[in-house]
Amino acid sequence: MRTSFDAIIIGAGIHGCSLAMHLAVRQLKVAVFEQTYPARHASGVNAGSVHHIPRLTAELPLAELTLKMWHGIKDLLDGYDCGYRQVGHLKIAEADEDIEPMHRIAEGVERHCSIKEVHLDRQSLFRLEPELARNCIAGIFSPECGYAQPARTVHGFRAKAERHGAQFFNSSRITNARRRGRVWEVSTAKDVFEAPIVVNCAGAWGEQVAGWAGDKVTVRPVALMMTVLAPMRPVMSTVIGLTRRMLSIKQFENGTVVIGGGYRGTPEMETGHTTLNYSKLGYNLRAATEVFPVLAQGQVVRSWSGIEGLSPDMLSIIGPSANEEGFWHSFAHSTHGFYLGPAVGRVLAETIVGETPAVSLTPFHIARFMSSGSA
Amino acid sequence: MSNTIEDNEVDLLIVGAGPAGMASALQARELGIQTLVVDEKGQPGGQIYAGHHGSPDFDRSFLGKDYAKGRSLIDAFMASDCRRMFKSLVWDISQDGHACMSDGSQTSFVLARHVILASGALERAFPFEGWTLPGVMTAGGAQILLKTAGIVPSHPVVLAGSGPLLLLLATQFLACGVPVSAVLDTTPASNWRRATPFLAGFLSSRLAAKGAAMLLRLRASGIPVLGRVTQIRAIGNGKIETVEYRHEGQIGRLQAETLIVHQGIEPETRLARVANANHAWDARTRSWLPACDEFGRTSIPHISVAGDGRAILGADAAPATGRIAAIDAAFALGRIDRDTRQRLSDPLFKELRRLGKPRKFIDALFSPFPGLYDNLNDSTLVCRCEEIPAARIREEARRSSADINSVKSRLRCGMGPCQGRFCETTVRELLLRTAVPSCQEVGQLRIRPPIKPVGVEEIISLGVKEIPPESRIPLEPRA
Amino acid sequence: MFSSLANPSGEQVEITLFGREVLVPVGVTVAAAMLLSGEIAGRESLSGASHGPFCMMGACFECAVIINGKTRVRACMTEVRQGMKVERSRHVEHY
Repeated sequence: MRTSFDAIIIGAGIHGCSLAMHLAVRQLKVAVFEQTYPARHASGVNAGSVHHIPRLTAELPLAELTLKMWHGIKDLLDGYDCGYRQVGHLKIAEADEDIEPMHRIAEGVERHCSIKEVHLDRQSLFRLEPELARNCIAGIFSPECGYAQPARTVHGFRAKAERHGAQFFNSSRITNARRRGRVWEVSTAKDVFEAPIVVNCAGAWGEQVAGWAGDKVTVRPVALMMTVLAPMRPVMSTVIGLTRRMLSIKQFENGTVVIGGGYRGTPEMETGHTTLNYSKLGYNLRAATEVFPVLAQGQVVRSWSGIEGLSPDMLSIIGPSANEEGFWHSFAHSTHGFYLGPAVGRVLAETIVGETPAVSLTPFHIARFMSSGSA
Repeated sequence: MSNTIEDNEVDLLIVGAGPAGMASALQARELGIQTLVVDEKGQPGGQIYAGHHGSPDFDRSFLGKDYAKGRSLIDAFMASDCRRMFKSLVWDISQDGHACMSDGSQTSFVLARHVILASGALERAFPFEGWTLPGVMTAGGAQILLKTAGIVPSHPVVLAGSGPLLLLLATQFLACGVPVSAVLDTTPASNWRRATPFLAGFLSSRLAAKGAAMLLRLRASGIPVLGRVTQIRAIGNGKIETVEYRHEGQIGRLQAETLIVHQGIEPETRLARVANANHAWDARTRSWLPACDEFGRTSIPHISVAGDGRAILGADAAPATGRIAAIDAAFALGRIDRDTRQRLSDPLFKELRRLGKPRKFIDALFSPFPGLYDNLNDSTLVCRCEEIPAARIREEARRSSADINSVKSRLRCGMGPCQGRFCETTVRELLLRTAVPSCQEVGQLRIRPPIKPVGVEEIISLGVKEIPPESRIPLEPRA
Repeated sequence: MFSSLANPSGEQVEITLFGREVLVPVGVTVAAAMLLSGEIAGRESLSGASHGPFCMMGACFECAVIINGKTRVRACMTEVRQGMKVERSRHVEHY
């Protein structure tokens, strides 16, 4: 006998787990299939930043909704806070020529959403972060932002989904999905499961999954490198980003410092292994010490990268299949996915069950890559 | 062929200058292969022959014949024209043969056409209540102190655990006048039963005579050697003061400023793992070993393993595995043909078979037994770096994934500077006992570079100074 | 306490260990010097407990101390030098 569910989700990253939770609380019988274990790749090993700058314009309504959800994450997940700390996000101008672009970014955000930003002059910048290098001259501070613990966040969504009846199948790679009438048959190497709804939350592996519904899109796998330093005395209080260069730094409560920014290693899709690129990683750490000189005295405990998928236009792919009924997507979140996880799961769940979604997903539909001439 | 290294490229990189690494290097030079040997320590010899070239000077003869034997290998190695780098840590090896090595202030890249990992062994972690108290030390640690510096406890010490090293250390202590209060042997009766079928192979070896001599010497000295001891605890305020144990149904207590513990050794495989070589579960020794062919070649064609880092075979077998790996490296580099490889290796394989005979008995007798991890108190710390108690690992196993990496990402065990060297085995054994499943499902900790912490500035020195084009992405919100 | 089997009239160096001057044999590691001087702990764990040399082979990081201002240095992998200053390592207070 085949096991049937109301919805089958492929992939137990932040998006698979968030969607599972939001569907399970709506009384759907949900199964999540994961090829390794939850949060194995980008969802579990990203830098954990929770901030809305920089975002693509189309993303800003989702970004605004998601930030509100982060503020209430502890209530949403029945008392589990995911390590979320609202310490604020600080975007820094390192030179005069950074100021104008920095303000342009802020204005762009202000036009499209209501998240608060405070412009800081040099004096207030150093009042907020006294250990900054002297060449930093101004900043934009978003007090509503912060960071969370990625692996714990995925766990929080998954645990609540399980409390509402969702089933998780680890080490269960889906090998195919095909539609028979109104029902999808989804196969692992050993078994076949069925459900009227299948959702592709397979991240960098989502291109192949989308193909099972006849949806064609090219997803580029990337492995963003992160570095963690051994615990240091308190050096910074906010989540730090730069205007001109790629850089992200934050210090957790245990004193460890995580440095990222989007520098790429080399992913290997078959094994999930990634190789670091030290010429880029070295540059990444140099940039960090140029913002906080004291970090030069730190020790690198480990560096790593997790695999995630880029869509052709760097915008997430969320919404219905362009070809098949009952097949949905939420993948290729293009390095923006962790922050958006809480809201994307909710809005997609609302859409799937026929509620009015809090935010329109139309800009994210996969169909945008398949209309004539735009693929 | 000369052995100069230009442009940071080398034919053969050997990591570790213990018996396997040294013998590997000698063999490689005999075959004319340009060779670089890197070791984290300041002297050759690995842990087993540590101190031969050390100071201060003292009479090391009481350490025994097996230790003295290392001298000639070390002398030959130091006289060879291979290139040696001491006090240098190889902290990452990529699949394309790039190795990152740090001398503590500077990191450099070496591109090796072939790599032999001879990284030796680690003490098997053996947590019990109070094992983090100052004054509790591993037998390997105590022996290194003894061999390198002639430093010994001057107060009564207690030795507890199981394995040949514990007995060896006790007799060495005896020989240099260290007061030993007791040897608490935790080897359970079940291990004796498992080992008995292999007794014949052991008795015919030199190791049997050595073991018997050690036991006799201990008995003659009057030092109490208690067998089948369980429930070791270290008690004290800020440092160990009392050792408690259970023997023949009774709780015993001994005053001690130093407790020396040992439960055998395991291969140190972190570099093989960081290079993503395949590993296979070895049920006999309950450990993951690098998957390799008879020559020690791993799943990555230009990376081989030798010595105890390949599988625990001991110091006598290590040179043979090292030489075999070097012969195979010469084949891999196209310097010798397949037949020559076989001809040169055959006598070494024969020697390994001979040395392997007593091994089955020793492995069975001193294999990690269930009691080591069955009776762990919930409050006992499993991960020393992040201070994670057994209870949290059990709880995680019950309610979540049993994959050891998933547990690591939630609990942080294995995220400290030791990268799981002293908790991975315990975490795995607890996961296997609490929730699940197979060792395959639990898996191995994924090792992240650097395998030991490295200064931020060293990694910066590997980086480009110019801003890479990709870091100039437009950051304005786009429509 | 620990003692040395080496010749007591052998060459020695003076180091500052946790605030006091001690004489130790040339060539020993800082961890060995600690034990010889009766100091069996040099590091404070995350919870504030005292930890000290454990594996002596650079693997466990329990003997991490501050040497000449450099933090998290493994005492067991560092040879003593004349005039060396060794301080206790206190979780995140020092960087």
